[in-house]
Amino acid sequence: MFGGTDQRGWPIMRGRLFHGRRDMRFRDASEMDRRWGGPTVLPVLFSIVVAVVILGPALGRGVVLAYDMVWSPDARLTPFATGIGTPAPRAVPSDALAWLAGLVLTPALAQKFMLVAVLVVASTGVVALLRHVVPDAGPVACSLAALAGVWNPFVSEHLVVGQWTVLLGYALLPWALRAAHRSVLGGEGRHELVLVLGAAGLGGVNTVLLVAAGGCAVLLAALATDVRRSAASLVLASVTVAAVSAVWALPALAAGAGVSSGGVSAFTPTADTPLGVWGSLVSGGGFWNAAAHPVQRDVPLVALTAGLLSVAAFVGFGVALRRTRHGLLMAPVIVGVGVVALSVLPFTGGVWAWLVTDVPGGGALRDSHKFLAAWVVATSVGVGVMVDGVRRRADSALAGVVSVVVLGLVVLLSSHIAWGVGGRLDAVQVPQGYRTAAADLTALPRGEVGLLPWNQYRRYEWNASRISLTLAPRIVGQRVLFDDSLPLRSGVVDGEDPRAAAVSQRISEGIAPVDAVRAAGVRYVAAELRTRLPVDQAGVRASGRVVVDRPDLLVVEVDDGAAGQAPEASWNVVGWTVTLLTMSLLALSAAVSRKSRRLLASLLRSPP
Amino acid sequence: MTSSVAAIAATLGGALLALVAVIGGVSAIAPTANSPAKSEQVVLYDAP
Repeated sequence: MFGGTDQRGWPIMRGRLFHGRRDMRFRDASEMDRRWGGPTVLPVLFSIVVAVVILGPALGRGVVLAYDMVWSPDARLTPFATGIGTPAPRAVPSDALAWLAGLVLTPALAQKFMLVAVLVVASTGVVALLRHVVPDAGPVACSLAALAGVWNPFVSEHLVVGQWTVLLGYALLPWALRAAHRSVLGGEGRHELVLVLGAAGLGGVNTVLLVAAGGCAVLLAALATDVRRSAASLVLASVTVAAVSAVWALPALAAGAGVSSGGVSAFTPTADTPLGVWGSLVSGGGFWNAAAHPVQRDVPLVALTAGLLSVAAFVGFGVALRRTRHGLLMAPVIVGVGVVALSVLPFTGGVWAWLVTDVPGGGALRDSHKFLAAWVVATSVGVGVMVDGVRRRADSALAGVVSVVVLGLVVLLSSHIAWGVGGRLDAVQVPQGYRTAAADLTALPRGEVGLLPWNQYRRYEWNASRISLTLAPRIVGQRVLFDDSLPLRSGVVDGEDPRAAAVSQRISEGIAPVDAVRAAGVRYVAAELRTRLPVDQAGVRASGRVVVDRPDLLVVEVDDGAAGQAPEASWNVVGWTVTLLTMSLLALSAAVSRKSRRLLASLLRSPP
Repeated sequence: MTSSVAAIAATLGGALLALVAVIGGVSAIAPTANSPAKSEQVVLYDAP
């Protein structure tokens, strides 16, 4: 019956690992998986259901506009989406991806597909990593790990502020960790890692940063044991990261875009529980923007229970890594937590400020909370490890009770995330008048548009006065000059655009906003209305010839545009060329690889 | 009914009950979307 032991010391039964009494009942894990619909069916279905419960009203008619997530209801590739004229193109190429998906599916449907996909990829990624560490983890353990992967404060706080590209990075991270580790072990991981990095490239800077940091941490740690194989994977991964990042990195480096030192402290994690910053971070919370904090985490018992559950899950994760000799997977967690610690600890503040403000590209690190992703992935996998461990050792009734208790804890400790994070994410219809006005402005002769109110955040009345970025740069097919600074309760964090800064300076000197914008040499001045912000409509109308006049958007031509200069776009062109060629090659390699695998499988199945 | 089926049924039943409780209770405990102050002149990104 038994066929010796495997390299981890576990007995082998009929060619498969034998781990405990559950396997005695089902003979092996594959039989149990078959009984419950295969190794992936239940967790995947469960992930889809959980994603729908989380998003709720966000899946209704219309588009979601929440903080950083602004989705145009009309598929239009605007200059902003290409990054042209933007010193720090953060929305590149993610906005272009949104445009492309919108052409295929319609923009509203594309956004829903993207949101569901991000959550499902995150859940299934956690399951994939769990099964990498514990190959025969059962469907219940996998489902609970999948739930923990998305039903947590890290996901809810980033969802509230609309940081879907950060969540895309979080979703791809477990896949990258598994691929990097498999490449070290000598499997197909290297190709998988390159493909995951390519997928991360679609999200832009934050996505790439998260995925690359995790994958490369595994490879760097592996250098100590297998230099040749790890170095080869590391070089390939680095080249891929550089190529898919060219589209935003080259223009940003060429423009010398830097972040102001004044904003560094504003972006450090803050406590969202009574347990302080570290007590909040342990359970995945602590995002820097207090507006995203769930109220229920103010309750000490909730915060304490969430923290203890996370610690227990992390211990489970660590024990599983030790038992299976997969300790390399701890490297990304150490790196991630290390970056967060660097930003939080008082005695490293100077180093952190230097890193963010003085090192080229260091500004991308500024919002350090995102690096907590590896910790959250580890604790989510740990939830599965814990449940699986109990189900191996205890009888079925007790194991069932433990599973229900863990399920209840995970659900109730972050119950705020249900149904659009308690209604904070909701699909709305952008007024037809606004869309028509944007189309009219797009159709006008080319010229830069100065945008009022001079503040990039809005509370559109038709969006239930929720805070969001202005929709204009993503729906108007002209270059838009807008205030890119970040107004916080603690003060204003400077943006990167020197021309916008000059306008802000003129306004602070007492010049009327419309005149301050005109002085920047724009051709049009557009005033968004019904944003709950004051606009001097009479002043705007008097400043030139009214060319668009709708209840939601007023546009005046103030100049013939002769004085305006086209922005330098050569680095954008080079960046897009490199990135698009790389993406095409990766897509081709993925297709060929899949085709060759299918061909091989069919050959193996065919009779001699 | 085997004990494993009972365990799975208990898990799914618990999940269903928890979700019903959550969806029903969220509206009671969740705050409304952060609403604007009457004197707001600039939208603060981290307005409570």
